[in-house]
Amino acid sequence: MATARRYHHHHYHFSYPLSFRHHFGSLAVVSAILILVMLQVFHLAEPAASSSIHNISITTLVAASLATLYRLSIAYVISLVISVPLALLITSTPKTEKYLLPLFDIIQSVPALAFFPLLVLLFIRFNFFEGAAIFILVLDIVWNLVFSMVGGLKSIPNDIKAASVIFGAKGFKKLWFVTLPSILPYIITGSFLAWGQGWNIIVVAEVLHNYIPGGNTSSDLFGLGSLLVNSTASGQSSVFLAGLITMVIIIGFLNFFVWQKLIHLTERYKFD
Amino acid sequence: MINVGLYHVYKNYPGASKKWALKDFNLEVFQGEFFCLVGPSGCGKSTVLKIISDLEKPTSGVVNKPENISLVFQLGALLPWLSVEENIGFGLKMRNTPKKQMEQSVQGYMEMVGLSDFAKKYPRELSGGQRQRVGIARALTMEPDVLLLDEPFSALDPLTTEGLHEDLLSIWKQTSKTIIMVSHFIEEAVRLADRVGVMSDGSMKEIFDVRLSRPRNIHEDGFLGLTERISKSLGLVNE
Repeated sequence: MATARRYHHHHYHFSYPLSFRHHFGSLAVVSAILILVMLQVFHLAEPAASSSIHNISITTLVAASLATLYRLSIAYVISLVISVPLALLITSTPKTEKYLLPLFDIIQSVPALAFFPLLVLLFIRFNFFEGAAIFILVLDIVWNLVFSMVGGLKSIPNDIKAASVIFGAKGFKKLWFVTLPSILPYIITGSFLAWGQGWNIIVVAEVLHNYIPGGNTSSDLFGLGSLLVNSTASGQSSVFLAGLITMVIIIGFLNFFVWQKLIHLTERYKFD
Repeated sequence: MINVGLYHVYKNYPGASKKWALKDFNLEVFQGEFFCLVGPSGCGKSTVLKIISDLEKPTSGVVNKPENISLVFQLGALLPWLSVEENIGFGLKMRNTPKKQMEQSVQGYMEMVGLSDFAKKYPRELSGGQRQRVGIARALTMEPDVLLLDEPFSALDPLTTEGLHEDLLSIWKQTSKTIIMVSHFIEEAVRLADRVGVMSDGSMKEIFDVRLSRPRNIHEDGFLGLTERISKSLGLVNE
């Protein structure tokens, strides 16, 4: 039976529908506003430099984007692997929950970036520059995932837990076939927040030379973050804008093609 | 032949406001019998089912029961991300049942509850009555020796419930299983069960034989008289 091609308005980003046209229309508007506003800011902050136009190749932008995405992805995967057993541990018994939840609550409220300078020095010693950025990312975003999962685990209906027992889902089977699917919506929400946080941190986390005594920009990790920071510092407004727009576009694409799809997918997993 | 026996069973939950959920609870259910347990809220009827199904262990007392027991939940307790046929086959999947056998079993019980056309649908697309049918089919695929039902129709409208009553009785006739059902409604108990047990305050107060032949009609001789006697036992009717 032939069905007419319809404009898919059933994409749900949070709670409102968002179509392709609306999403990328907004992206274009935001980018335009950003360009205008940032140009003004540069003009105010560094009038001499902002008048010149520096070029940056598309290749460099793409490479920088990939490098940054690579760091974020690794940090995300590591955080995911850590957070699942951690969340399960916290909710395993009422006692563990009583003691561990407040403990981790306090740990996560200590701003991770406060330790960043120290971490950089540590990783420099082992010549593992990438490790500094990835470590700080994990340290910050793992908590989004842990607490989202804990929320999910605590909201599994008692009947479902009882049904797992009755129908023989024990141990690993229960984890794989009941528990993880039950919390999938929470994992996705937590991941979405984690990535949002990650973008914030990566801008700072790639600029290592600030934390290295006598360091210069060559110690920085190549990526969008360091591009944004360094181009601002050297007054290259056009480079900065290119980097910023690239970042906005990437995030827009991820939101629409990844996160919205995932959130829509996990609707099926929700308990009513 | 006695299929399920609870003898002097006590159950308390540490820290709960009510001290004993079950106090010297005794019950014997016979093979192939349809037994219904009624009682006011909080009298411990659900706890009885939990103990029979091994979801809870008694604090003290003896429980004799076969190994294979299955349960139908009041609100379905279906897994929302699985289709109807995946839900029905869930227990078999957990048992690592071979695929062919599983498919046959699932098809069979899906037909028995009248949901063959809904195989690929998801719980959120079903009505309350249909979800309960899935729950019943799921429990039946386990081929249990005893089938437990925990107020399975109390969340449904009367018309749907009536249809499900008929289906349940027909399934019972077909499979000859021992059925223990907890219910809120005396009429439902009298319509379905061979015997009705009245519970109060954690123990069995009185057991009534229902000597009416099926199908039973609320208007027939003896039906209302029996419901009245049960109500009195429950303390719902003033002497």
